[in-house]
Amino acid sequence: MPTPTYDKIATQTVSGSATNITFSSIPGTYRDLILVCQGITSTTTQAWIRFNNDSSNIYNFTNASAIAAGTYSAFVLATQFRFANRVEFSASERVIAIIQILDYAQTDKHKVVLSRTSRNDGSELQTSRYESTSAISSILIDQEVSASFSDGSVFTLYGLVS
Amino acid sequence: MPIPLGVLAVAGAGGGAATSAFELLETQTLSGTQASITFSNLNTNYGSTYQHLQLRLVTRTSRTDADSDPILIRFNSDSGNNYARHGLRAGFGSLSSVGSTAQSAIFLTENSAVNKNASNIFTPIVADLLNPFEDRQKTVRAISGLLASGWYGTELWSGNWANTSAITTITLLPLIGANFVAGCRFSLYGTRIT
Repeated sequence: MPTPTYDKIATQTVSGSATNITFSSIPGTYRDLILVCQGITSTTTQAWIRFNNDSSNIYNFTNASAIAAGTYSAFVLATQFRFANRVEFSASERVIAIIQILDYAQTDKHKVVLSRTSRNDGSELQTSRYESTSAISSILIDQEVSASFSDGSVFTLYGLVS
Repeated sequence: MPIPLGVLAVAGAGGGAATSAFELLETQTLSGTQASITFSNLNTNYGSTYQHLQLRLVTRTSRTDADSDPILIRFNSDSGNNYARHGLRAGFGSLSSVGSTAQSAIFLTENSAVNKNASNIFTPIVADLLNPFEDRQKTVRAISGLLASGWYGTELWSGNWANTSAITTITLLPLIGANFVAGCRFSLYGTRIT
């Protein structure tokens, strides 16, 4: 029997500006999380996410990026997952990012992430592996430089049942 | 009109259960090893209700002679050379594409094998099957990635099954390894026609 599946957990809409966004107390009752980001920032910047306030150097990711200047791919090990890496947030063009976190509450696996980030002049696919078996209970969304998310930026977290 | 599936469109889905158009149909989670995964009776059970299907997979296989092991998908138990597949691969600092026709299956991804990868390294795959029950050739697209000890990649694959029959069976299997291992998860979702 089919099961209703796709639940909105929380939405945050920026009023004025916000230096970062946090989703906390994420329930462990879903199988996957999907984070949808739509926004602009006060200046051009990469953007990233971090799980469980963990700033350890254990976020692996690779990107396939296509922007006006060319195509790029790289492997990075960092203290956060830069979901907007070559396709950066900006003050003028809205970025849309869809970040899928599979088996986020399973404690027998590292956490794996698939993301797609798009702007009017570029697109990138990324995969990330967070080298932790802890269930993800919080997500911090932030930027590389001293920027802020601007008025009207929207961040929505969904949960998928399995 | 159903919302198109997948990573390109999840922003359009959502909402509470009362308005859900995207529903879980079946899940298989392995507690031991298994050579292949089959979802069957699909057209009978879902053909009149769902327009598109999505597979959400977390996989790892028992291959021991390499770090990665492709995952294959077949329809209606057809192992003839009736499939085409094309992939965009990003990793090791470069982008590349591969493709071939007259194949016996569609690739979904390179996948974590047990050889050099820690036991908790699995591969995420999200694959969309568009119009699986309609009388036209079937297409699949998948995004996936593997970040393991000897393989770093993000992949975008598409495939075609040159058959107009409604899909009744989906089979997933490793290319090289004998089995999927414990902990693998295979979930099938559907997007409603109306």
